Amino acid sequence: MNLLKLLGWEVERATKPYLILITLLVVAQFAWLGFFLWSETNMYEEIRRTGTPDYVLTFANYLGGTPFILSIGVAVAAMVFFSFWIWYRDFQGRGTFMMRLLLMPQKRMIVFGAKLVTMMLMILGLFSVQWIALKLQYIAFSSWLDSQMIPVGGSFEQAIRFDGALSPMYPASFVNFLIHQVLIVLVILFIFAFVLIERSLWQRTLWSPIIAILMLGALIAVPVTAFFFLESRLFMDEMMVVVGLGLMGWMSVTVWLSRLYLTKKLSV
Amino acid sequence: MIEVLGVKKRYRKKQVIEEVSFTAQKGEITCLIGLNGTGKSTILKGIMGLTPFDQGTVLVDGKPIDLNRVAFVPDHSTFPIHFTIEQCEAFMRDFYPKFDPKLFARLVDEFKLFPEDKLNELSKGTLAKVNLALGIAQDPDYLLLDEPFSGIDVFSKEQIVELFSSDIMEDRGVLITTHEIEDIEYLVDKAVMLNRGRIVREFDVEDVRFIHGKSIVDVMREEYGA
Repeated sequence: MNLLKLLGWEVERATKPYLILITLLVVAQFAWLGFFLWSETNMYEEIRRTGTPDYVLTFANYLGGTPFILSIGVAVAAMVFFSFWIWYRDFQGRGTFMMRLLLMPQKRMIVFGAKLVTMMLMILGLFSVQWIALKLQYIAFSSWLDSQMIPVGGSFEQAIRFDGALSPMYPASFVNFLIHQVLIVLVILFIFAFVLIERSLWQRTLWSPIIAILMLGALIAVPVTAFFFLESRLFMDEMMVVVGLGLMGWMSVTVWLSRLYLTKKLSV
Repeated sequence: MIEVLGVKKRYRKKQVIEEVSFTAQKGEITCLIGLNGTGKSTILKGIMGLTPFDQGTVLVDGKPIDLNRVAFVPDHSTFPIHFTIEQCEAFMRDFYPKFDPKLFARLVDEFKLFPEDKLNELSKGTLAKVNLALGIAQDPDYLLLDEPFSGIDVFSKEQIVELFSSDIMEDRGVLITTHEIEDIEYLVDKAVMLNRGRIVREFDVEDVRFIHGKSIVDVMREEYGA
């Protein structure tokens, strides 16, 4: 119950920057679509005047454009940034809100849980908005080109499948969706663990971010190195099990580390 | 009773607190006294687990600290500055099970606060009153106050001092740090004097006053050579 209440507070505090991000993302993509269609139509008309165009446009041409890739990159960077900021904003200034959160007569891990769920809600929300926006962009793309009698090749699904950046948003199966979500959660957990270690050490040493990076670097490097040694000796099925165990191990250790630092060592 | 037993704290190369032990009784006002940088705030934060001690134990009535029974009022607001007093109260009601809205309303009334005011629009004195009201409304057995009079005007100071002698504070244990000791001297039951992270003197204020005819400030002069 308290987790839900705190989640409500966290979501409310994140709403404004989140809505700004979504608006910018959608506006930038539609602006790019407009420009793309305008320039492609002009070019097609130009070629049609002198001969017969020997190519067809696909939705993948639009998706492969730098502005579109950039908009996705900005959204990803914003989410990574917000994974840090969701903690660091509570340490900002003298009147640190983190102090109020730590003084709550509740388990400190609800703070962690609320921030983690907020991040996941934001990411899944972004996926949903992008999914709807992309469908609308495809409708606009194909209907405009149809109206101009410019041939369109390939389907929406084909264009998406060949775009690596969009694959987490449009997974081929439910299992793929789960794997993508686990990987996203893992990235967030590593960021959270970094912040909590760094904030626990900052009053003791100026090297706190470096120490935090080294600790988490070792946590990542040791299993990865072990995996490279084992890889050639494993069958595919065994390798899947090892990878699965590795991911679960990383998740457990990052949560354990975060809990340790949040409950016993964090300093405000 | 709050028992602070053999606590130590080091920041980088500096030992800020060197094996400090003292007690603060329920129903009494205990004052932690010391010059700037002697570790008073660090001790309060350490008791609340906000800056964990490197060593030592803190017990409240013989048990590890229970945040339902002990409240901390720092010398600054702990809410985002764009929050209104109403929003702060809503947060406290949601997450502090013992928070008493009626007591808070009474304090808001006594301090003449306006719930719709934003924290960043308040003077330092008014902000101190908001902090204190939010702390007391948690209805704690023990209240830890860090420099509640720091930088506030004389009338706000008077209002806060009056509160200490009112029924609202009855039966609560108060552990307070302050530079403005003369303002609350007559209210303090016990003084714990710190110097360079060590306790240099711990005494019953009334005893010193009646037996030796000295005030806390006199004892401070002796100890700090000021």
